[in-house]
Amino acid sequence: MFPCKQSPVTIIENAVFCLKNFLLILICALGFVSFSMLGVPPSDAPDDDLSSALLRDAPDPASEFVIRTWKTGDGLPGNDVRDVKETSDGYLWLGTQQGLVRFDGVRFESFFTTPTGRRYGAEISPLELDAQNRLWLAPDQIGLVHLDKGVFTEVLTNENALKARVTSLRSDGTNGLMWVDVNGRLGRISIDQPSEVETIKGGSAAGSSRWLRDFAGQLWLENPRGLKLREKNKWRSIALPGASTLVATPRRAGGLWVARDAKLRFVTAEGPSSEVATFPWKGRSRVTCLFEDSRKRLWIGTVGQGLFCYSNGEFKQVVATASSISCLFEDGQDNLWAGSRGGGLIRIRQRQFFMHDLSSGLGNEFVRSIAQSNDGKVWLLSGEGRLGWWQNGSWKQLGLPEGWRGFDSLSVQPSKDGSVWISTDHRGLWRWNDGQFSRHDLGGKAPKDAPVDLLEDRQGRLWMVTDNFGIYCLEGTKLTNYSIKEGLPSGFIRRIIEDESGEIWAGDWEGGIARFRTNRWELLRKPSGHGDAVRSMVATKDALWIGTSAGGLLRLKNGQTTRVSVEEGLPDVCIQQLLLDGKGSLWGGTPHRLFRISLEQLNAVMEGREKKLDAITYGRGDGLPDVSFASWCDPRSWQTTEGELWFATANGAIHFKPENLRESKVPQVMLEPTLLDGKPVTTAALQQLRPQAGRVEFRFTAPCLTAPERVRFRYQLTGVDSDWVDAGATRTATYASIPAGDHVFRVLASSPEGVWGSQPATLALAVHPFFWQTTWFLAAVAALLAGSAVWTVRRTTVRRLSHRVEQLRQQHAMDRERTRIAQDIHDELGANLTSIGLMADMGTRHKFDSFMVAREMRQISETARESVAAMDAIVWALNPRNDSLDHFANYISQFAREFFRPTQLRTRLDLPANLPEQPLATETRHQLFLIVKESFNNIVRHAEATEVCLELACENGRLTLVVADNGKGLSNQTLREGSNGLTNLRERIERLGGTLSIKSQSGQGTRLEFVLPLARLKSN
Amino acid sequence: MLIKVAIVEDDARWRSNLERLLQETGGLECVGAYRTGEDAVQEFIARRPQVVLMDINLPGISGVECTRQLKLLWPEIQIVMLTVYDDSDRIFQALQMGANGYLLKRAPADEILQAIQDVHRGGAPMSAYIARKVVQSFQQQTPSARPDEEVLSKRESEVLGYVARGYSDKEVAEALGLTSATIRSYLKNIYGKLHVHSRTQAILKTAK
Repeated sequence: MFPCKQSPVTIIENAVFCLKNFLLILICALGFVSFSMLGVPPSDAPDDDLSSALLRDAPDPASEFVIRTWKTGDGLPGNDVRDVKETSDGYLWLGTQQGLVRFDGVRFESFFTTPTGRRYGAEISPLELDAQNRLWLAPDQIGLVHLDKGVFTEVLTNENALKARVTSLRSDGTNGLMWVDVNGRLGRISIDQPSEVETIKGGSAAGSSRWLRDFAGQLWLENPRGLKLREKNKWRSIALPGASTLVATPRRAGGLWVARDAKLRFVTAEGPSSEVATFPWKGRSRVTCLFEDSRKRLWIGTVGQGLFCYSNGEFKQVVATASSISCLFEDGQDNLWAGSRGGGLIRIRQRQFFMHDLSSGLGNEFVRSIAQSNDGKVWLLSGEGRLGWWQNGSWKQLGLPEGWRGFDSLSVQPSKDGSVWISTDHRGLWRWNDGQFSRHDLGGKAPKDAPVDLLEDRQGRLWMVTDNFGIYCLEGTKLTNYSIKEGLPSGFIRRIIEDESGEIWAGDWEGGIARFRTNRWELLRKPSGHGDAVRSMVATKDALWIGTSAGGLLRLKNGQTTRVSVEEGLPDVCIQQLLLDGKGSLWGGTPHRLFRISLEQLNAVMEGREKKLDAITYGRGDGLPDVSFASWCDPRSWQTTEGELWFATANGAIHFKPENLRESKVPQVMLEPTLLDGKPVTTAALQQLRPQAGRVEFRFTAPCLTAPERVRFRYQLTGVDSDWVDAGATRTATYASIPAGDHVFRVLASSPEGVWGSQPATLALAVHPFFWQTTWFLAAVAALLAGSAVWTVRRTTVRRLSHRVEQLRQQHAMDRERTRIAQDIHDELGANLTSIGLMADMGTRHKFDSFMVAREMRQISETARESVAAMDAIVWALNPRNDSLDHFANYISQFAREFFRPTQLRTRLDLPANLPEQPLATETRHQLFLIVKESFNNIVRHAEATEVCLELACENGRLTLVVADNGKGLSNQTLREGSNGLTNLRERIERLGGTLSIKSQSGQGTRLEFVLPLARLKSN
Repeated sequence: MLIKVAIVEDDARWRSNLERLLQETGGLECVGAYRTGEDAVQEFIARRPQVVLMDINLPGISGVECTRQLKLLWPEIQIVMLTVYDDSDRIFQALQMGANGYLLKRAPADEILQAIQDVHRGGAPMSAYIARKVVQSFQQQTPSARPDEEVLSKRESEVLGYVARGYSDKEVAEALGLTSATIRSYLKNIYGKLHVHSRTQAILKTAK
């Protein structure tokens, strides 16, 4: 495991090699820095852009539903949502008091006016979809507007055909729209000939009446006092018990559901049913809307009590926060949407993944092992000796009362006879039988190491895998140890499984695979290195599937190994867990996510018939919190007899039924208006872009209402990008300058599960040749002619260029670049430089013939260390993440500690524990830092002090920074006339718009007080 | 008794340098050097290290996440974070996950070795900056009913206050009329409470 000792000479050689590398990287990095100043390359977005939004979606992992709410803080224009509909392109449309709003899952876009520029009033609803899935709306004081293929048309106005505002719109299921106006007039409009407005008599409707269409296509009129059925152009009143206002909705089993007087019943053409249920709330509340979803659950929106769900004869309060629900709608992907008065927009999804973790009673969330015993209990074993089982939806933690002594246990395995095996860390093998725990005596030859993986095979043999001493097999009372001598690839076995035909397979820490053959192991795959360490194994009928630590997924079939990894579309190189669902899918866990791949496709890729895997991954949008699949003990995943899959993770145990998971379709990718220097530009104008027209920002989206955060994009601008550029979740692509020529911008989107669409959205653009390219050409010619001319031309070109750079600079993109550069410098240069320091340090520990060598080694070490410190300061200044007062305070306190450590000076800090959230411009932050540093330098050089005090205060709109010492103080002359150092400091702070005051007395130290108005902190 | 030390570091050169440094130093034994956090979790049991030097930047799970996982598996393990530079936020996160201290990689070899010895003896070095973050953390969100193990005692707050103002252990000891050893044990307790505190907050967060 250890390299042999190296001589001092090799250390120096190493250090020199390191140094060379370092210089190379430095040159590259500086090259890149200067390059990146010229243009802003399209940058890939960090995923954490969305993380803050995701944190709001903190679901109760045990509840049946995953609920997410959007309010004005999330971009929703107003918290009053009156109506919700989805169009076939995937957008969700909201009627709000702030106008019509379109939602793609991420961004809300408001439409304030009609196509002719008339402003929508306070009432935009009702919204309705016609039989062709086109959106209709009847805004206040406007009339009727319809949306077809992204184009709005004003169809009718209140002034002509419609005499008053329409309050209810309902498709008749064919080519008509039924309407009710505010005066209680009724009618029908043909969607093909909307100008012909038909009125219907005899409904005795009111302004609050609504049309309903049941699932059989029958039209009903819901009046506040009763229901009417429209049959063959005739009305039929249906008498209903009760007196209060009624609310009705189509019922899947026929007719309508009706809520009245806190009672639920249904109504068909034959009349009302008897009472089905009484609403559960106490006190006064009113039903505002009803809706039966595709899973035949009835949803009840109320005033004052939120949202209830009625299914299997039970009511559940699902949403309590938004007390007043105004509308309910189910989209095409099983999401229920509720609009509320004041509570924003709410999405309710059936939870698919359940998590058992700290919040549901698991004492330690690192689950080591999972297995189901014959009586249906799912046993979970987690850190610190926690053991328990999950049965009928509840968790039972075992402890002393149950006879479990809380030993550090590793693996749990059911036995055919109904008992359960538990292996512990040097506390023996335990057995649970009929509610009793007992230690199983293994005799004098007990395993030398803790068994981390247990397997009881069909023949009743118990196999135990240890970390260092191979495999033990317990057959009756006979214990046998298998190691290299018996044919195992090594003593470091990691996994053992039994396949369908009862064969036993073992995998080791370097990818070696062996099969058990009466008393001996047959080596089927030689160990190939640590990257292929076996982390998980499953067997199908004809193949063994092996998840490795860094080599992806291996298939062992007919003695041949085939590999797939991230290049083929595997989500990670490290496959910690594998589980088969018996329905043709392989499930797996990586350090960061859960995925599923079809075995058929895996075989096709392994055999070269297909190129890419469509690995489907799951995450927060599916109600699965972030989990890390860890690997240590086994078994860690289990398919229960009920068909549920269980996985152990380092964050708890997850379980779900695979058949409940529905794949979302790949969302339709769409281009939004392109921006030129921040202003929208038409597609026609994009065909005739002037040279140096400015920064072009392509914007795109793909509406997805289920897990929009996980929709990924890739784009390409032909002639600029040689291949697709991965945009991650970012929905823009920015180009600082596009070369002359014809280009096509193309963009593709993926489904949240990671399946890419095949139809890109495209946009053509053309750029004329750059004018200044010819200028450069001229400059080059001039260079040949006269040296002085070159100088002048160059100067102006450079000036113009740098001016342009300023214009082109987009702060956001630039910040990201800076972060990345800062990161690169740290990761690449920092690692090398610190290496040099450490190597030189180690060098000095050797005995040298010449003391010169020793001295130079020490100097290398010191220089390297100083360089790291200097680099640290540069990177700190560069990284925009530090642009806040709090970061500044932290940094100077760290800096003070390191600065004064080599001196005898005591450091005293007086920084408030909580500083206000105050952004600090990069330049200001850097200047303030230089002020601190220079003041420190002055103290060390001149003050003869024993104590330094650094104070920072942020009060009354001013930032006060004090650097004080207890040294000899300044002479009167210095105080009067100033010194170079003090003048510098004063100039620096004055340039920032602040002031410096100096207090000093001979022999009593110096106090420098820098004061800066907070208003100056944000700008340079 | 040899102190068993393990290294989690993805940079091969650093890993082997550290390995050699430990090996050449009396009293220490390097029982494992791992490239990733996943490897460390899988292989640790076989080696049973007492002290771990943990890089923060790792491929796969981060050093912070690896610290969390190791502490869940073996709460008694001592973890020292190693970082190229002052990545203050992540150092603090690691401390919340139960790390026992941190070191800059640019620290001289002697300082690295000293830190291993200190941490093994139960020391918990704390800088002024970390002290400030600890104060901040305990001030944020104060649920009314909290178990004792996550509220700082008066003395602990006092010690924390001094450290935040730049006092060294020795200076705090002088100021409070206590021994340096007592101060160190206070600091160790504070780290412990920080860990419990952050775990409790995590539960509250998921339970909401």
